[in-house]
Amino acid sequence: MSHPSPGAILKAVSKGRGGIHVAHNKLTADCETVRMPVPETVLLPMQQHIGAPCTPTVKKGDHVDVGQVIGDSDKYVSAPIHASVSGTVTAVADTKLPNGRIAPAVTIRSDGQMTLWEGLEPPQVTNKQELIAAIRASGLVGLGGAGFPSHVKLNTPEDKPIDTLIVNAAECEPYITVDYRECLENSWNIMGAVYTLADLLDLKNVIIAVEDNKPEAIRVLQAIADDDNDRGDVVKLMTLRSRYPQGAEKMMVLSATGRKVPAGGLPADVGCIVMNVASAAFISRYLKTGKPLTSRSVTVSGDCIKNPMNVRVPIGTIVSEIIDFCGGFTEEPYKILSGGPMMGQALVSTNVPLLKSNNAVLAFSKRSAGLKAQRDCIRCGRCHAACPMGLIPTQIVKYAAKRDAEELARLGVSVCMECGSCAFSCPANEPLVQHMRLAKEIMREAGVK
Amino acid sequence: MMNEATKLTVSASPHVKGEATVTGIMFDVIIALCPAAIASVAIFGLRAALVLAVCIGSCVAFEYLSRWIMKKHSTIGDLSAVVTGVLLAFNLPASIPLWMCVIGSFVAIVIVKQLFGGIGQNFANPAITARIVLLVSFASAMTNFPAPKTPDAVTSATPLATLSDIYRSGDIAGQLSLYRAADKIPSFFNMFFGVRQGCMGEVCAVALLIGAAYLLIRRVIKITIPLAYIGTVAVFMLIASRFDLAFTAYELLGGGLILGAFFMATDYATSPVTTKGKLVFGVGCGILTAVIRLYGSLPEGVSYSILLMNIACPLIEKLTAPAYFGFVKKKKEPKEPKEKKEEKPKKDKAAEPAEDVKPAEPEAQPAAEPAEKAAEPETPTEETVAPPEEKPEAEPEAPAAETADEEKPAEPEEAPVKEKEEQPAAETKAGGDGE
Repeated sequence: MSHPSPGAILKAVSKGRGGIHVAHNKLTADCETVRMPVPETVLLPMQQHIGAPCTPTVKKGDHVDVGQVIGDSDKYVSAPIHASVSGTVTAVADTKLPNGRIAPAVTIRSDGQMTLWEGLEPPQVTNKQELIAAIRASGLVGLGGAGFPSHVKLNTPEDKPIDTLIVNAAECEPYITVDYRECLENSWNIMGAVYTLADLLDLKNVIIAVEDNKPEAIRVLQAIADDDNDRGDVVKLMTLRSRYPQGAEKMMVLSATGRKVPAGGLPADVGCIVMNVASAAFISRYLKTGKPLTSRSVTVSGDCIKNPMNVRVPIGTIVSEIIDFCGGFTEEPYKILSGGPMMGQALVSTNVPLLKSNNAVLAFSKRSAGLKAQRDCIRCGRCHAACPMGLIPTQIVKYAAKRDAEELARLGVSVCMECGSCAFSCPANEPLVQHMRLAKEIMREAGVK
Repeated sequence: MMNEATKLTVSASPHVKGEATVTGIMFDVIIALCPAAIASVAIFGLRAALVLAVCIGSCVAFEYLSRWIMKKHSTIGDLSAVVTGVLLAFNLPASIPLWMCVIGSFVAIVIVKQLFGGIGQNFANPAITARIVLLVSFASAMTNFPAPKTPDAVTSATPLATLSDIYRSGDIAGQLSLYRAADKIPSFFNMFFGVRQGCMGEVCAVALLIGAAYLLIRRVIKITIPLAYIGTVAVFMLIASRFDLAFTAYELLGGGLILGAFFMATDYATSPVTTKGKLVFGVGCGILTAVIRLYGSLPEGVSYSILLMNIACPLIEKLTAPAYFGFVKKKKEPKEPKEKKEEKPKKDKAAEPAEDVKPAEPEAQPAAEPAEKAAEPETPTEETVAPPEEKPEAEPEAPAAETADEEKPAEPEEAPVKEKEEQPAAETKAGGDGE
C-alpha cells in the first residue's frame, strides 16, 4: 500500500452493493460512559459465545473474586467465563438464555467489594501462540454482537497468511454508541492493541475503519494513525460511507481492501482479520492488567428509556436492573431488544442477564417498533436491491415454500447474514429474515450445502 | 416502570421498518399518471374523463367483488386496482363504448389478476392483457380513434399506420418529407404534445415523460427497462430506416412506446427483479415491438411485445440471477468421475444436469436472440427481408401500401366514416394502431 502523507484519511476502496439507509438515532453519542453500581446478584450463563458451552467449575457456597474462572471447556471453540463480581455462589442451575436456549448458569451474590482475584497478573506475551493462549484465557469474544471467541479468529492457519487487520469501528446499527464512545474514551488502548497485534501477528497493514458519520471519532483515531510514522506508517484510518450493513465482516473486508470473502469462507481466506474496536481496546487493557472480560459497555436507549446512556456493567447483570439504573421506562414498552434494532434479539422478559456479546439494550414503544400488517408481495425487487450479498429474496421465499433445498443452495441462501436489509425495505412488510432462516433450516435438514 | 403484567412483543429482526408501503408506491404511480390523464381529457374532451372514471370504478368494483366472493381480505386499499384502471383507460380510444371498458376491467382484474392470486401473482400485465382481449374481440371499436379536439389536428390514419406505409414504400426519407409537407402526418410539435390520433393515454409524450421522471425521482421504477426498451427500438429503427432521424423520432413518439416502456413494462409483478434480467426484458420488448411495427401486419406492437416478454419473465429472471457475494465457480476437477457416473447410473445423475439444461434451452432462445440482434443489427433486416419473398401474403400488402400513398391521402379528408363502410380490411389498415 502506498504511504499517504500524515493526516491523510483513506477512502473506502470499494463501495459494495445493496445496503440501506437507516435513521441513525444515535441518541447517546454524547453520553460519557457511566459505571453502574455493583449489582446485588449476577447471573452468568455458561454459554455466552458461539461454540461449545462451558462447564461450571464452582459449586454453591463457594466464594469467588472478580476475574476468577467459574466455567471452562476443553473444546477449542469456546471461551472461559469469569466471575464479574466478588461474592458467594448461591446457585448453579439451568437458565433460559435470551435466544431461548437452556444453559447452566452460575448465580453470584455480590459482597459489594469487587475484590480482584489474587491470581490475576498480566500475561507474558512474546509471540503469536502466547498471544492466542492469553486471549483465550481472557474469555474475550467478539464484543460487536456476534460473540465469536476471539482467540479462534486470531489463530489463523499457517497456509492462510494474514496481511491486514481491520479494526471495525463502523457501528452501523442504529442507536448503539458503545464503539463510538470507546474510540473517544479509550483511544490509547485501541492504539496499544493495534501495535501489539501488528507486531505479534506480523501484519503489514492495520486499517481502522469508521463510518463517515462520526467526525469526532475520525479526529481522535486520525491522531492515532498519525502517531505511528516512526513505525513505517502501518496504521491507517479509513472512512466508509454510512450505509447499513457497513459493519458486517464481509462488507468491511470488501470496503477496506476490495477483496471478496468467498461464500462459506472467513476473512482469513483473503488475508484479513476483522476485529471490533471494543475487543481491540480490551486486548490492550488485558495485556497490561491481566483482568479478564468481566464487564462491558452497553448502550441503553430507545424511546421508552427515561435517561438513555452508555453504561459499563458487570457481565451477568440482570437487564431490568440496568434499565432501572437508566431511570426506567417513560411509558409501557412494546418491545425490548438485546442488540440493535436491525439484528438484535427481542427479549421475552427483562429478567435475563447481560451477556458478553450484548452491546445494547433498547426499549421501544408501539409507536416506533410496532409490527405492521403483512401484505402480499408485489415483487418490487427492493429486497434484492437492498441485499448486500446479492441474493434474490423473492425467489428464495418461493423455493422455501416448496422446501426445495437444491434450488435454495443454488440461490446461495447460506451467505445470508440476516442483516435485515431486505425486510427493512419490503413495502409489503414480509418477515424476510424469518424466511431466510427457514430456508437455511430446510437446507440443513436436507443436508445440502 | 414495567408492570408484572406487561407483555413484551417478540418477533424476528429487524425491528424497524423502512418507509415504503404498497399503498404509497401505488399512490406514486397514480400521481405519475395524472399529467397524462389531464392531457388526455384536454386532447379528447370530457369523453376521455368518462372512460377513465368507468375503467377505474369498474376495476375497483371487480377487485372488491372478487375478493369478497373468494372470502379474502379486501385489497382495494392498496390502490393497485386504481392503477390498473387508469392504465387500461390509457390503452383505449376515447370513443370506446363504456360497456367495453367494463369488460376490459373484468378481464384485467378478475381473470388476469385475482384468478392467479391477486396483486404480485399475475403472470401478465392486467391492463395490457385486457387491451389485447378487447382488441381481438372488438377490433373496429378499438381501432377507431377519434380526432383530437384541436383545430390543427391531422385527421387521417394514426402516425404509426402512416409510418408503416412509408417504410413499406422503400423510399423512407422522400415519402416522409412528402407526408410532412402535405400535413398527412402530425408535426413533431403535435407528436410531442399529443395532438394526434391514438389511445387516450399514449398520445401526449411530454405528460408521460413528466410522470416517468417523477417515478424515477421517487425511485418507484428504475431506468433500466425503459432505457433498454426505447433504446433498442431507436437503434432498430435507425438501422432499418438507414439512419433516417425523422423516421426514428416518429417511431419513438408514435404509438404507445413511451407509455408502455415507462408504465407497463416496468410493472413489478411481470418484469424481472434482477438488473441483467431487466436489460434482457427491455431489449426483448424493443426488438419485438420494432419487428411487429415494421414487418408485422399490424402497425403497433407494444402491447404484444410486453405480453410476450411478461410470459418469459420467470425464465429470464432465473437465467439472469446474479452471482451472490463470494460465489466461487466450482472447479472442473471432477470431470472424469462425472463421465464415469453418467455411463452407469444414467437416470439418477443424468437427470440432475438435464434439469439445468432443459430450462436453459427454451430460455436461451428468447434471451440469446435479442442479444444477437442487438449485437449484429444486420441479421434482423436479413431475416425480415426474407419473409416477404417467401410468403405470397406479404406481397399484396406491400404494393397496397405503395398505391395507398396515392389514394389514402384522399380518403380520410372526405370522412372517416367511409373507412368503416368500405371493408373490414380497411379498418386495420387505415385504422391505425390496432395490434
